[in-house]
Amino acid sequence: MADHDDPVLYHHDESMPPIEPGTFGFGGLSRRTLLAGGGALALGALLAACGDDSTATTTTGATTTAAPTSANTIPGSTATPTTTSATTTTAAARPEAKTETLTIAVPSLQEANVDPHFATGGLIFPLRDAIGEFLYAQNLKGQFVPSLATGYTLSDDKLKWTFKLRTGVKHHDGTEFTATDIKTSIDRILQGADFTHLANFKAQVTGANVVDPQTVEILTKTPYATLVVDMPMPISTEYFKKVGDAEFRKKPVACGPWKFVSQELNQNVKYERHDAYFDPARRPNWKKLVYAIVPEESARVAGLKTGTIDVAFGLTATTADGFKSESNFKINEVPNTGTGFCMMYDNNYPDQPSPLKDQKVRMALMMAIDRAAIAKTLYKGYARVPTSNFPTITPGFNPDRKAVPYDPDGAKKLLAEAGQSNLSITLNTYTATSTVPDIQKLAETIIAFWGQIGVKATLNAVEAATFLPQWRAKNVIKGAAMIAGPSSFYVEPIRMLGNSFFSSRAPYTTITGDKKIDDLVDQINAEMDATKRAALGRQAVDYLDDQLFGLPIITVSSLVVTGPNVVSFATIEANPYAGPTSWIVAK
Amino acid sequence: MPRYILARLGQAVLVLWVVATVVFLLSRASGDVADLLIPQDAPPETKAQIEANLGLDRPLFTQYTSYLADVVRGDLGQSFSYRTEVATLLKTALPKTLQLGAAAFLFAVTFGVSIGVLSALKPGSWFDSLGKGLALLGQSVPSFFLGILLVLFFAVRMGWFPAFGYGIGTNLVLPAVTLGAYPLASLTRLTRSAVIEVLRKDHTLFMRAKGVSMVSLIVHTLRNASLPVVTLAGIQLGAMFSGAVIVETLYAWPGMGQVAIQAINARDYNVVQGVVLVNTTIFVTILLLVDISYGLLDPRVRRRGRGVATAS
Repeated sequence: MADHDDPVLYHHDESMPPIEPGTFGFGGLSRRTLLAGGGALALGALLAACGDDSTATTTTGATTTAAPTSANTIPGSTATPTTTSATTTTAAARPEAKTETLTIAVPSLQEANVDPHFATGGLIFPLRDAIGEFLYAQNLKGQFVPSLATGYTLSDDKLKWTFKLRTGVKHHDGTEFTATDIKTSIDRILQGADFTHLANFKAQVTGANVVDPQTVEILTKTPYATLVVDMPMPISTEYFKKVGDAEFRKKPVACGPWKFVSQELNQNVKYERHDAYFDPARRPNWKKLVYAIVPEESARVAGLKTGTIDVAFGLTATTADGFKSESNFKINEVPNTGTGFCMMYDNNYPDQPSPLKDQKVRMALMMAIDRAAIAKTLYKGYARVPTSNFPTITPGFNPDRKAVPYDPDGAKKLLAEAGQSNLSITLNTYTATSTVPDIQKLAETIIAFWGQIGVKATLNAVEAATFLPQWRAKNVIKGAAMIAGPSSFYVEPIRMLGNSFFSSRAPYTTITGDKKIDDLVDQINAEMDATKRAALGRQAVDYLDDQLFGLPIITVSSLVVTGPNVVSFATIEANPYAGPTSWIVAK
Repeated sequence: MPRYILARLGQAVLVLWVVATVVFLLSRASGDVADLLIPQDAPPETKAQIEANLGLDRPLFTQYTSYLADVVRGDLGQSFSYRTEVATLLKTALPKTLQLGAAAFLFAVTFGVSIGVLSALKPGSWFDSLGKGLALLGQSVPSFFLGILLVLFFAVRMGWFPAFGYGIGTNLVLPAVTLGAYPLASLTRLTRSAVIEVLRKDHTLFMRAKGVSMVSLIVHTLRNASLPVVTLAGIQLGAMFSGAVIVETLYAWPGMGQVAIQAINARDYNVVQGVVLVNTTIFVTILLLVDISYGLLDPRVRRRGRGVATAS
């Protein structure tokens, strides 16, 4: 048995302590700090009421702060917004709220049911995060820290993981959380035909053994480096056995912060607070939660203004800016939630010639785009210029790398050196994606910039349902292609390299047959140490950022507007989704 | 008349079969659904297993015949994204769309026919000008824009109605008005012109000369003018039941339109097929009823159905 101590991602503590104050970036504050925070909050509110519009914007996430005018500092900047203490702001109002119900409106939940094991895509994550709890959960900084687990060990052959579990955790039905609940979840997933979205987990995990109520072993076929991140939420064994699989899907019971109450398909999902939730620092301070599905942005705005909605997700910059003059509302900016890439797709065809296989051409195309201007105008400042193909939260991200500068004259010279002064290409894209707003307009803007250095580009925009299968087919798309990557998915370097964009095996790859990157992906897959995986990720991304098989064009923020019933809002760094609600404080 | 109805029924079944076939072929041509059900890093054997489970590894013709047999039995298959029976899903959404469509239809017919008749009785009057203006406005303002205006004024500013959400009471008012505005305008214009035409006919002038009461005159005129109005109303009703996607989205109304949008985004083609089939069935049924109503409203149609020659 080898103990692993990976400070980057997975913390281990065999002594089974209570969750440390501040572990999740919340709640580690003294009474005095709380009072001081409350005073600051009151002063802030007064200033907001009297001051200019910009005070309504709050930057949130791991690097959160109530930062006046923070949005205006972002365009063109290559640095992550500087922040101080989101938690100071938010923790001040943790006492029980007078507001009983908060309604959170989202454009879609894509919900089939409310079962935490059916979180098939990001939009449904809020439902999963309401009902259940992970063994290792993300804190505000996006780090995976012990939650239901207190630590783990890994066998020498790397095929057996032994997790130690927290005591004193109750499910919604009052039963105690034990190792059996993890086995129940894993058995359910391995035996169920419907869990196709967990195919990778099913392909690698063979089963679970209960050693004692606080110890469980997970067995895998091959070394499974990202098991901790991929582990499913435990569910109440007693309840599951009592009601069966079909009923459980409709009314699940686990040990998350919210108990399920009702679901009206495509309308809303209602919850009431799990008062016995084990982590007081993340326990909501209001009693009832409603996720309302309101597809149309104008209806969400109307709902906010009429008071039927307390928190609205999925707002465009123009709409959110409309709330700047309204003192009862706050615009909360969650930075770095998604990046729009312009991929040099022709590198997927090793046997076919293309000007995009020349690094000088790729660099010229990048230098031709004034990305700071795009951030400022198209995204109203709620975006920044990315320096790398890795999102900032991906282990291996290189903070020292500088953004490729906007230099149209230099771009022209590079094209001339490459003998491509009369370059003509097709830029493919989808018409819309929830990850990066206005992606088609972004593509049109890029084409306009390329036109200024003499590159003739033709836009080919199709629906996402058509575009993504074309991408995977790797015989339809030619030229360059725009795609959006949700940052919160890339919590492991392999997800960026092997699961998404940059290796021969990745379904949405943009480079096929590159030995260096494929070898690095294999090494990362076989590496069980998170710190070493991050180091390998750094090697890979440095190479990718030099080669520019993908041009990271713009990194956008998600905008969340909160109404008068919400004291403060914060979420996991780079998380665009409406859950978890652990860091929302009701009035 | 029975022969006439049978012929129309046969045509309706033919239309449904053609639509079912086209939808089946188009949905298969749009890509591999198994890709949508597995994560990006799933092994290839998992994909093959899913294709086998869904029957996607069978020859296309076998899939087609199996699909048609299921449809006839009312089995629309499983939703890939919702992971439930498509029929169950549609049973939840359809009543909500029908409620909205019926309310919008009631609004459109009540006001459209009334304004049209009153405008026709006094052509050139201020009321006629107002009616024509409203009709022009109703036909030219897109429903999404009208909906936003109604929400801003009646929900946000006045607070009289909810801004969005499903419900039978006040929740229904703004979506029904938004959905019914266009058909109201069309019905107003058509009713006005049809009534004016009938009012100019000799038999109507004769009734007027005899001093028949205004109520009797309107009843008589309406029946004679009803054929084009009923035809248009039938088409509009079908369109309201099957084409409320924008209004449902605008008001977060959880009907067939929302299900269709979600299914299209997820390439959940069993649901898409189901929605199209149900909507087509509704449309075809309404048109069938409209055709049958011709026979009831106009004796000449009945006589033609019996093979009796009529002078026209």
